[in-house]
Amino acid sequence: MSTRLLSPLLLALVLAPVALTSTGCKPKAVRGGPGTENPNLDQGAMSTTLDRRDLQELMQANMAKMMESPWWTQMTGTPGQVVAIWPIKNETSEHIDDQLNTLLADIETELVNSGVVAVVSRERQAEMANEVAVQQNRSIYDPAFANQISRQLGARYYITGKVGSVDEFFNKERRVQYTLFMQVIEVETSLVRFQYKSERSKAIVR
Amino acid sequence: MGAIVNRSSRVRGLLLAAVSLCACATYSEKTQLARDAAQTGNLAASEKVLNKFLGVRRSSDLPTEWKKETIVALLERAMVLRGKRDWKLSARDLVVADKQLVLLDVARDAGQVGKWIFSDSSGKYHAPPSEKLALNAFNMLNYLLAGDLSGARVEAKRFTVTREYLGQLDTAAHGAFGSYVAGFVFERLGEPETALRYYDEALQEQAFPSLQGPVARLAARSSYRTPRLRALLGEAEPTAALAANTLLATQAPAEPEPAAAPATAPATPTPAPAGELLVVMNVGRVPYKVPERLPIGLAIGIGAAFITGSTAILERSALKFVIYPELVPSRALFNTGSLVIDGQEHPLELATNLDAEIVREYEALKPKIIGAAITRLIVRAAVAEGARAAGNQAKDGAGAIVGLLAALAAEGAMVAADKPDTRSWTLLPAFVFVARVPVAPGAHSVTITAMGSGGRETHDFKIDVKPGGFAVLDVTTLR
Repeated sequence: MSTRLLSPLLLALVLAPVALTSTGCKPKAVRGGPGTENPNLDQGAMSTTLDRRDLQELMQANMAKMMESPWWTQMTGTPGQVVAIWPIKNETSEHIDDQLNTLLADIETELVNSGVVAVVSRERQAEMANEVAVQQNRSIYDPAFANQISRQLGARYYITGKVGSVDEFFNKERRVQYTLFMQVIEVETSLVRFQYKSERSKAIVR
Repeated sequence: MGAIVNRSSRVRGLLLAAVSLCACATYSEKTQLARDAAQTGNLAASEKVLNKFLGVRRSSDLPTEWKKETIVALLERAMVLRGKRDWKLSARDLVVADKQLVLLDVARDAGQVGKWIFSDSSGKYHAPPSEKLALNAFNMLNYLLAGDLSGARVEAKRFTVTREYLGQLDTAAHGAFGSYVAGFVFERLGEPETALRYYDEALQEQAFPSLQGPVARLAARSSYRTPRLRALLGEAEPTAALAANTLLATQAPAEPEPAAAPATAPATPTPAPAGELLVVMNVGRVPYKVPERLPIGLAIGIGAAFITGSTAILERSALKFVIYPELVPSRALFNTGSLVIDGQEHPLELATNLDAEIVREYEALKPKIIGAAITRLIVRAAVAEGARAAGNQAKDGAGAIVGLLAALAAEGAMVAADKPDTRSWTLLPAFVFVARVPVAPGAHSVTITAMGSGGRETHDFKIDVKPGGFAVLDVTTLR
């Protein structure tokens, strides 16, 4: 091997560890969303967790079906029926409780703005439910408990649901398949008046 | 010629000294102060060292820059925060670290090239199975201790995903402690079948006498059974009822013998306790890695199957040893303990011996680690030979010495950059003990004492258990 060829090779081999351990560009904060310089910032998936876009789409799919349902037609015929919104159970492998609270707020907003049903304040409901749950050592996701509290709040129906996931890790790829179930339960009879599920998959692929 | 040899020996000696001085500290050396502080029980000092390492001012901050050692240091801080009983911050750190580990597992590792040429520590951090399972198990406990059963459920699911993934890879997937706690979480969530599945997993690895009562209670509410659960419940195997000559009986695969079923009388469903206490005591620290030198001859004997390239070239190498990460004991103070509730002593069960699991994992990988170190040595020797050949072409009769200097410089520079990968979760407890004790509703005093060759450390608690409720207590000594 000639000296001319060897020198760059040696230089590259000696400097490469420095290059390998050196840091990249300095991070900076940016603003995104409609009307900003980065309108598509929210479009990309950053992880397998449900983000705002996923939740909005899942919620809209369920709400659209609910508003097409016979139950909603019945509600529009007798406006002012009291409806409670019960927490959505997180049965996934991701910590999405904060996102689910946002989802509940979105559902509440849709129902209130529809002007068709009267919605029990979620804050008041949560306060009461937590108080009774601690006193009676009950789970807030227990259907009988949900029924009991909804009745005490004067609700005729309550909306509840759960998010489940199938989480798989194979060949160095990870996929999480989410399913959002939504139900409307009649307090008096415990009958399911509406039920629908929407789905979303997220993955980290190579 | 003699003068050249003398000069070359001196130059070689100086270069070797320079190399040993220039070599950068490895992960375990850089975090030694954090372990030293934990060893004296000064968790605040340990936390401070780790925050400095992470480049943050306080533990409420997360690192903004993810270097190759950041994720391990974050795991260390999470454990210090557990020791300080800051469950929420510890959970936050473990969730973030868990997500980063998933990304690292999926990502292509550009550092792999560097790992084979320059340094073992240039690759991304891939946590061993014991650490992955411990992460979700300890985080499950964090959520449980913070009173968040929903969060604990999420960690239980993540624990299962990891366990199943490791099972697919034929990697030893232990984690009796995690399965035990997951069973407790689902029992308290009112999901008996899932709870039984987790308890069965825990029983697969060892007998837990404390599970007899809970399994009997849950079995009364669920039809889920395995040979282990049936053995614990004293129930007959369903196949025993079949006639020996029926097709189903002959085709039925033989179910494995329950490995961990204790020889006990049939369990009868006992009423749910008025209140219950779950106690977890984490003592000691797992072994950690330090840079160690091994003579080449011995190293070749250990790592022969994993060496790429010809070892003959090493005959002309300046260095006659291999630097590799060796596992050493943590010299922690405690390895056992005791539990006293309202003046009465209760047994603690050893749920997981992480110390032994980490030693087993390391011993299985050691030949590969040493093989990689020798391969790097071969690459360096080849580069040095190239430099020597180039130097030998120098004019005025100085070719030999120029060649030698060039060879030593090239080899020395690469050795200086070679850092054995000593990254590991060094603040993981070595031994995890559990106890479940039925208690009457009301106030109780609990004393948990960690013990061992280093003396004892006592923790006193006053707790209040609601009717039908439960309380979870955790002691993590980190020493």
